Amino acid sequence: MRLILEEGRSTLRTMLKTRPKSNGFPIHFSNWKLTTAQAKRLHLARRTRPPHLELITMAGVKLLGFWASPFSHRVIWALKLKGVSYEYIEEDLSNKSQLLIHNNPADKQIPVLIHGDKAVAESLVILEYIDETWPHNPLLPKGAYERATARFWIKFAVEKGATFYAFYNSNTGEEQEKATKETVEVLKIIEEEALGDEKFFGGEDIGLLDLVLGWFAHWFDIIEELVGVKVLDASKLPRLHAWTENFKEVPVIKENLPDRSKLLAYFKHKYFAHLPSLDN
Amino acid sequence: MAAISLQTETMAEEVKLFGTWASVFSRRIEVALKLKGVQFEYIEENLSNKSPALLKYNPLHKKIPVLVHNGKPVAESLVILEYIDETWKHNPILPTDPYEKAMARFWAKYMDDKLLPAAIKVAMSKGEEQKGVIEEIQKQLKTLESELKEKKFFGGESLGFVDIAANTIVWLVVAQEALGMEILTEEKFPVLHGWYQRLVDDAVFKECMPPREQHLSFVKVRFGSSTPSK
Repeated sequence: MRLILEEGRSTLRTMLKTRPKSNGFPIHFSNWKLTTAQAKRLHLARRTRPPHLELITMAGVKLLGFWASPFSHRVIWALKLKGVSYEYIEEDLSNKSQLLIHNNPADKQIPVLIHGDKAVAESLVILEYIDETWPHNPLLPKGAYERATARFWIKFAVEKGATFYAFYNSNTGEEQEKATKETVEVLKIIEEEALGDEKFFGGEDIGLLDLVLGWFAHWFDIIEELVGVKVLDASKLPRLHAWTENFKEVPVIKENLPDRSKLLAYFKHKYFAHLPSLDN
Repeated sequence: MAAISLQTETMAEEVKLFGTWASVFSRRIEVALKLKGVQFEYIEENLSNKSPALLKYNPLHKKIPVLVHNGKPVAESLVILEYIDETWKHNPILPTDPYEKAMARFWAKYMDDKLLPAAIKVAMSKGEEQKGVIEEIQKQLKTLESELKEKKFFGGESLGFVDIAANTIVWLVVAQEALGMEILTEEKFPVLHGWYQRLVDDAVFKECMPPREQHLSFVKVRFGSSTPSK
């Protein structure tokens, strides 16, 4: 049984709808008329995925996630970049499923990737698992030193979550001023040291660090709107700002972002209820 | 054994480790380097008077440990462990199977994200608050026990990535003795206690532990004024 990529699937559906009628004799699909665009998409979908992928993916991949979570989205982006078919299961965080509790008993948090009978939790651990299980279109560089550098920045980005949280959480004017200043400092370091003059953190193409920092491209401006302070703008952080634009233009990312107005409403509700959280 | 033949390889390489004697993080790196038989120069840092070399090699955080391999610095203990495993491939500390590797990374992260902050908190808190943190740590230890199960080490037959990261538990045991707390006992955690004994008896790990008496006084001085809770 062949598993087909999302892109390939819709092309195939179109093909099936427009296939020539037979008189009881099967007509091989290679003889059906495909439009050039359809043929190209199917070819590209197949080309970026090595033949043995079917065998690995045949074990069945499920992702337990939450629509508003950037952590969930990191995993979606990685799976899509690798062309891995998966079943997405939306979790109700106020009423966690048995599947989630059973597969991540340690902290019951999403995202959780279930591959066959194996469950992997923690978005960063899941990302490296995906990169190693489906090694084409690698997300980490080849050299040990370059990998260590990428992992160092990933750790930095994660650690600084506390700074961004403080920015989101700041109540008084003084708190907000302090949190804003610290947030700008952190972003300047990321821009200067981690990004430099590259288009993406991964260089020419997006890599693991881009996925980890991806939330800046879509979630952060919502937080800025709620807090009422603009931090990541083109004048203060030109290269980082350009990165957010470039990142959102990458097709896999562009097609897999939560609806902004829905996201704003969700965070507005949480913000004013003083219960900010991005994963639970 | 592997260590002898490695000498000729490493003679052309320069490996330095900046650390401090009581740091749970820099001791992890010592264990990994010794397990691989990698020759290295150890530089003891004085954290209240950091060397220009440390500031040069880790300008962002100015923290130890930093591993410098042929002039190139690597910081963050778990990142360094992975770098060591990828650079010196014999006596692997991480499994090769992606799923087993993911599990190892998950549990090592658990040590640093959950156990370590709780261990620091328990040393700094008193009375009722401390009792609460002790209960939290004991829940975490129970979780670790169910992960360990019948295995000799988290890494299987020999020390692995998780065992090295779990040196936090050794620090916890020192803290409980120094500060008069009862957290990890043989009675409550027979499985984990067994693992702990095997860890501290391991030839390589033993060599990399801070000298016990000094470690106890260090903890007493640093966290000392908390009243013991039983």
